[in-house]
Amino acid sequence: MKTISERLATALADHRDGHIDRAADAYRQMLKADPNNVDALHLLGLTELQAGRTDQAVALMARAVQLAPWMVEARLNLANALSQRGDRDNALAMWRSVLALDPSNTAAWHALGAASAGHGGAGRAGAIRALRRAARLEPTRAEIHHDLGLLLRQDDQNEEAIACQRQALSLQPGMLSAWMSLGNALLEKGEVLEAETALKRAICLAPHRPEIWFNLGNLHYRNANLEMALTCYRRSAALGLAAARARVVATLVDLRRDGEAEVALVAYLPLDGTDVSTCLEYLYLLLVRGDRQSEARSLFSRLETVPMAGRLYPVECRTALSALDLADGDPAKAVARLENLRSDNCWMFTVRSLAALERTRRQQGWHWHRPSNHDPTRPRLTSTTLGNRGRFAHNVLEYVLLRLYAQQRGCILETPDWVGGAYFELDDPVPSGPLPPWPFGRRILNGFVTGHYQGEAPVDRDALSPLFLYDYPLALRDRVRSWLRPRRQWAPWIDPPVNALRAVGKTIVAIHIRRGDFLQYGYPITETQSYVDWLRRLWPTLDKPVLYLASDDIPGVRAAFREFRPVTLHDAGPAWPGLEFLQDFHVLTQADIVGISAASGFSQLAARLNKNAVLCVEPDLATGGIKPFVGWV
Amino acid sequence: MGYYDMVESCWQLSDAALDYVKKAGRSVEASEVWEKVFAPSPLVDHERTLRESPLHDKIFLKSPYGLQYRPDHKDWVPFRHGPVDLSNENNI
Repeated sequence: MKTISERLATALADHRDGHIDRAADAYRQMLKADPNNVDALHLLGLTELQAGRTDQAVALMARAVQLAPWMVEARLNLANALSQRGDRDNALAMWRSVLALDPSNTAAWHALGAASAGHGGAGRAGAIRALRRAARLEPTRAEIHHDLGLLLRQDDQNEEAIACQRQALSLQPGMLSAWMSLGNALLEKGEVLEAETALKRAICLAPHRPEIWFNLGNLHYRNANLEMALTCYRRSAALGLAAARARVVATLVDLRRDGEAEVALVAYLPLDGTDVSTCLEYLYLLLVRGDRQSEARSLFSRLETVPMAGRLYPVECRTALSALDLADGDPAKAVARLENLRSDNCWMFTVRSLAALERTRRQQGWHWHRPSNHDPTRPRLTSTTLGNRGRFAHNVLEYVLLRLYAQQRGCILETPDWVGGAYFELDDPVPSGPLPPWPFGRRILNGFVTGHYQGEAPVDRDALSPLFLYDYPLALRDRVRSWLRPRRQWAPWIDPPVNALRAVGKTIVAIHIRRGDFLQYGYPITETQSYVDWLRRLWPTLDKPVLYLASDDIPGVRAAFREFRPVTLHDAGPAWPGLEFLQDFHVLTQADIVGISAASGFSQLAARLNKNAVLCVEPDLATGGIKPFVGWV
Repeated sequence: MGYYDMVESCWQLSDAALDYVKKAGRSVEASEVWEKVFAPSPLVDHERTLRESPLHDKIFLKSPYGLQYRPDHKDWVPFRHGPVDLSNENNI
């Protein structure tokens, strides 16, 4: 008769040799004899995890940890099971508990780092710290350097990200994802040839992997080698990467091969995983470009009720119809069509806002004619994505970077119709013709503006989603502010809320609390309590203060500030239908004290444009408090 | 203070030691790191460290954690020397 430990050893040997079912049977037998055998509970849980039954795995391993809280391995495996089940918070807590037992546990630091970064930079600093520790503990583990490199790149530390991927590859020359990440990071840096070599190496290692073809497609697209890009995207789509389908369509549209683009759309739109939202924008563009407006009307009306890739897309279809209304000179109808829709869709945001601004302009009866490019001999720059990727502040911040670059590079900036262009006193010419795409330009644009980039600085390109300045030097402040002044005609809508506040108080404290999609996508959330605590200390020191709250969730945040009797747009003046965000924005640009919402470009931009503010603050995510915000350094 | 916070403090002390060596830009003896970084730290259990690690290659903190020197990596890495009670997950 074998002892318990002998039976465990035999089962474990089976387990290690890959005889999972036999090992699981043995663990079950042991648990029949002793239901509290922690090793059997843990290891049976592990077999369940290996079989993909995470609920059972979690239950068994949680029982083992409860009975034997010191079991590091069981905690590690439980954390992995929780993570695989999608229970991120409990997984993070479990990895931390491993570190409480074993502070130099590389696997726990690695897992904690890989799992704890959220969107918008939430948790990224902690994740990077954790991965640096893992790398220190086991400098020879390629995966750790690779994961650290990925996060560093997201954190705009591209040079170190490149070094990490090179380090990973020196340890594991066949590491596919490191070649791919290295290629992407080099491309961002503008080292196109080296990037191409890295990506081709990855393809040599795994020619069947669609994501590598996708990235190589991006490289060719970035180089305006559209034929090569199309070939790569098509391969990627054929190999199963759904994201490549919209890129195939985009490239065909750029190549002006409209017929082929339409054929691709017909093939892709019904397929699961297709980015239908983007594809419908291209469909709209193709139809309008082909002067097929009435066909577009009937098609998008019909598509509103037709499931594509498994669901309906009423927002995109109505946005297309609204854009047609606007182009037909009926902004009121365009606004009405989108009035009751709630969506984060950027194209809808732009069409609705432009339609609302145009409706106001017509009501006021003034003329607005966008100029044409007066000097076609000069090089040009444009960014078609100003009109459909990102919302207000995102696009304004992109515009700032583009205009600085265009000025310095001596080219004419042509812009599509975009919300900032209509709201601010901007007079950029409309696009005089298509330009080759230039995606991923942020680093070069920034480098050229700051004088740190000495390489080729492209012109005559369409800078797609260029993103923003990395830093906002004081030397640029007045120039940028001089560009971003609201058109005087909007004063009847944006001044009354500010005047109403000045009528009841001497010190306007305006706080912005962003919720909306920040909750959905896991971006950093501004806790109202932080601002309430800060206001309690500040309030008695202010001269006749009045608090203004700007938020996309006033009902959800107002009560927390009750003691300061907050004023919202609803109280402070007539709402500008569909453009209430601009009224909030204007108050934030005029307030004496501005409280920014964590990671919100909207209130950061307002603070940067504010000439009156004696103090701007933002949440300190590390401490949970409030800290000064310095808009220009 | 939870155990994880103690681990964090321990790592921060390790970071401080690495920073000191990096800024020195030369080879630094463990005794110098002890004198300049570890000994001034209120986290360190001086008596036990001096008693059990006269060469200062193992630093005991007042928490259940400490730092040990890895000569091959020239690095100070946390370890645990005392018991931790994880029967209550709130302790973490």
